[in-house]
Amino acid sequence: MNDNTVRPTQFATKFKTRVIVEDVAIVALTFVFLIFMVFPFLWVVLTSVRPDAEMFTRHLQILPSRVTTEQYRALFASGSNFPRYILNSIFVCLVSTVLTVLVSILAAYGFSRFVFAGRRKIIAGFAFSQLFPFVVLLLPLYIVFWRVNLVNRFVGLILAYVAITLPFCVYMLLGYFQSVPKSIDEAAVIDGCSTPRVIFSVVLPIAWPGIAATAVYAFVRSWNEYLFALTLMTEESKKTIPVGLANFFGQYTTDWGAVMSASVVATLPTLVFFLFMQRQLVSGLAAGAVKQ
Amino acid sequence: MAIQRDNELVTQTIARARRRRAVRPFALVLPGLAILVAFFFIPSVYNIWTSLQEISLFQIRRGGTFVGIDNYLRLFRDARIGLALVNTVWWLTFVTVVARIVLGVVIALLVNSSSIKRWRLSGFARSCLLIPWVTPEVVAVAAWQWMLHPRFGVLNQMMIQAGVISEGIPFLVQTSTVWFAIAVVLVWRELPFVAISVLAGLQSIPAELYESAAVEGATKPQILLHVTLPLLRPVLGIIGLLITIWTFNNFLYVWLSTRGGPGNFTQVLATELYTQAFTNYRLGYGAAIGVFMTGLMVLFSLVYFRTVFRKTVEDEAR
Amino acid sequence: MNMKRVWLITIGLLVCAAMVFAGGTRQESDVVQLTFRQGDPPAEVQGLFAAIEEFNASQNRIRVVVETVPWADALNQFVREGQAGGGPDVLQLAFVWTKDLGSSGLLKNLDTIVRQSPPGAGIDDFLGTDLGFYNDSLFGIPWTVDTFVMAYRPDLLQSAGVNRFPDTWEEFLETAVRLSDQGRGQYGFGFPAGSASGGGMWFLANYYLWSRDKSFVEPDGRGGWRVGVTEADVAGAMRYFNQFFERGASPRSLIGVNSWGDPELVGGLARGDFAISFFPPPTFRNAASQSSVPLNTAMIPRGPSRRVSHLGGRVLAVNENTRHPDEAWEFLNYLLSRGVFERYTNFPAQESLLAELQFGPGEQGYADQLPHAITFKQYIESPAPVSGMWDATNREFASVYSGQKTPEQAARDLIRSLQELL
Repeated sequence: MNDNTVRPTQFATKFKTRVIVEDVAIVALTFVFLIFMVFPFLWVVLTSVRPDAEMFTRHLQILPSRVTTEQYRALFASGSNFPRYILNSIFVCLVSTVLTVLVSILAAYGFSRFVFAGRRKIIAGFAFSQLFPFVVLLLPLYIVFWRVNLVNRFVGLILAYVAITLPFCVYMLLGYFQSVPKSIDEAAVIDGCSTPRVIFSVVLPIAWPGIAATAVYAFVRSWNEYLFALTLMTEESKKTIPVGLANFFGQYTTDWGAVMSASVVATLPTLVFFLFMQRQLVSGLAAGAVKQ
Repeated sequence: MAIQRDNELVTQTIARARRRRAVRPFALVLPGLAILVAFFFIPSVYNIWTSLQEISLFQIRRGGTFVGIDNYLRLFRDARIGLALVNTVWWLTFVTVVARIVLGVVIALLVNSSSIKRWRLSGFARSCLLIPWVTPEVVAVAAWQWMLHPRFGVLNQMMIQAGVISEGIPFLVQTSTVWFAIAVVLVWRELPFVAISVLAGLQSIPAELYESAAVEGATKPQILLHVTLPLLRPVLGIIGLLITIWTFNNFLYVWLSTRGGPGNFTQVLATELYTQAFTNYRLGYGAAIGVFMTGLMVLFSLVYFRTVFRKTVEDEAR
Repeated sequence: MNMKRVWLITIGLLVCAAMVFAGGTRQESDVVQLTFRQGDPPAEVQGLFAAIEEFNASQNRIRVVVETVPWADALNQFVREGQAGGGPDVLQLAFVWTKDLGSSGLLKNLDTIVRQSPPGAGIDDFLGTDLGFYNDSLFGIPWTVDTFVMAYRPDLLQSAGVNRFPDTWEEFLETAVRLSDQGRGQYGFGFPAGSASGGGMWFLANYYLWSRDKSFVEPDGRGGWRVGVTEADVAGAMRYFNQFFERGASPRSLIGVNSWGDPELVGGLARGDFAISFFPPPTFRNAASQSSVPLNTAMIPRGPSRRVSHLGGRVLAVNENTRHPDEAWEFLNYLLSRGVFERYTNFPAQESLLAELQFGPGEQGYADQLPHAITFKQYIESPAPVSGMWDATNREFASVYSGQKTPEQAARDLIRSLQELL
């Protein structure tokens, strides 16, 4: 819609030299920033395919003389636990993302559509939970998790991730729901729809981009989480990628090539997921962030 | 007759809906609230209790001795806490938050500019922006450590090649550069969140506003100053608060890149807490530092809400 | 309505998947399942894993599952688990952790069982048992021992005209300076000089002070403890090591290196960036495997009083929370056996096995140094946590290297920290 209205003027100005100079300047400047954003990861990728002998050179050598996949093959060789870690990460993060999104949809809808005693206090409580440094909560939490038998079980880690990501997700969705006119669901209520039905068949289809953005946030946050994964999951068959990554830093040696290739593998799934979602992410954040 | 029955039906339906609505909000909010209480508030209460005890890491089962506010008194006399507080507030938080907000706005404006759109680079630019955000912190720090290495790091090698310096700079171990290096790593990893949020804010500004400003003969800098930036205030307000809190409590960046060194030069409150509780085994003291940190953030949030936030909300209402 | 159904189905599927995932590892009831925890990167200890597999195959009463928790997190993790009532059945610990864990009731008291079924060739055969005791009770069986020695490149020493490895600390410094050629990027001595607790500087600092008969903490003779070094002692040690940086024998980037296993050091010796470095046995073997020229080892330099290093290593212990103490003990004994050490690349803590050990090429330095190695017993018996002293020492030394403090200031601050910890 936006595009259509702007296009004719764009076309007319396209050939003006001043505009071209401005365009080139802006694009060049943008590229400077983009290189800053992309280069470190690109460097990790380059290092991961670099032959061992070329890793510690004292002169500048951007491209490796030959590409080796040795590190990647070792990562996926039989007997390596890394494929297992990847599956575990995907499983835990997907489930916890779905649960977080569900719980935060309910809460955010409650906050945005109803006025009730203590509403503001509870919203403040969600914000307040962000103020605690995590390191100190770990010890009491471990004891609680052990008592209710959630240690070394996926359910435990999933619950932990729901809790970590929930406050921000509620906040994001609350902003989004407030931008959805109340009249739409009030009409549905008068039609006799139950509240779950109002949420799932009336509000959700409209709020879809906001929910997608929320899900992306929750997924990435859980995907990179290290402390809880380390503490709650000690069995080899239940570890996730960040913990597997830490296994390469030993007391006697550090396997630098393995760290680099494992880093690429750890980053790629979320990256691909993101690239597909980038448009939704921005438009989702747009309503949520601004209307708050 | 029929009409009256219909009316009755409507009133009944509305009354039923009202009754349901009275119970419903609690049912909706309850799951989230329960998780919050179990996960954050109960451990925090335990933590406050711990901070009032002299207790070693190994004594959790036996329990420590109650010492009242001794741990807090000690905290206020501890010179290391003072240093860590200054580092946390200024270097870790203020410098990186300001850098992220400024750079985030600049990048978002660039990506949202008509030039980038004309060249059809928006999708590409957004994709590139997201890369640091998906990189796990551990990987981000390792990659930068590797690039900043004085002898094998690509950045030093590039500068030597270009003739800017004759010998590699050990960025992460000399006091003159170490904080800049940590700030660069942190800003790199956390900038996308700000840039994308601001970009989202920009895209939700109605195009008519720009058009009418252009019709009135406003120049581009004027539009930026009087239309765009004021409209970004709400999003910047909330993002600023969030990243301040997240960074203030952050332990990973400093810990992974320097362990608070060289010496104690880059110790922040979170690493000091970790050292006291888990290296010196003084759990009570560590907990007191944690409570102190939370207290500071509560104070900050209140002031922030009173000033920045009230203003933006009022502006919204107007 | 559709939407709702989609959500319900999604959740249903996820719950099913969760159950499948969770139910996958049910164990049979008549086999005792034990968990053994170790801390090295799995790729490094494949031999140990294979030996444990063999143990599982050799009988059908006990099944051992190995888990790995990285060393850096291992102590904290077990402290959490143990006090909550869980944790692995058998675990590998650092020598210095045994007292703290034993005294807080997290490890099984092994007195009775050692008397009834002595491990290996009897408990007197083990080195370092003094660290396994607390209040005269034994809480851990020493498994492996190690110490640090100087590892070097004989070819680089020779081409610099150094025919004999330096004997005293002073000679060592002069040699390191002579071996440095800053123009071509070769340095005399590579050592971990980082600030973190767990970093290698702590060992060097102690070796230097011990060789002058000084110790960071010592009994005060009245049943209490006191700091055993003066400001001048500590400042002297700081000044000594700082000269490696000031005279160009070590690159300043090492101030950021904590671990002796850092690729900068291990690969550095192999590539010839460093002529001399400072390694425990597994790290030396790793460096040797990367190096194209043979590496050699030599003893730690001698001080005015003596030549000394620390006897470190790992201890095996049984979790107080285990439900199968007898099986745990049986498995622990298996780990002490000769067969395991044939495949596990560490030195056994049992003197009888150590005597049979064939030291590899270039490893003579370890054989020579081990008789001069002493445990951290004195530090462990003091009320100050070793990890706290370790942290404070590394930080204050690094603050001298980075130019924040003079050796005198740093020494004063270190002594104050030690007093506070006691």
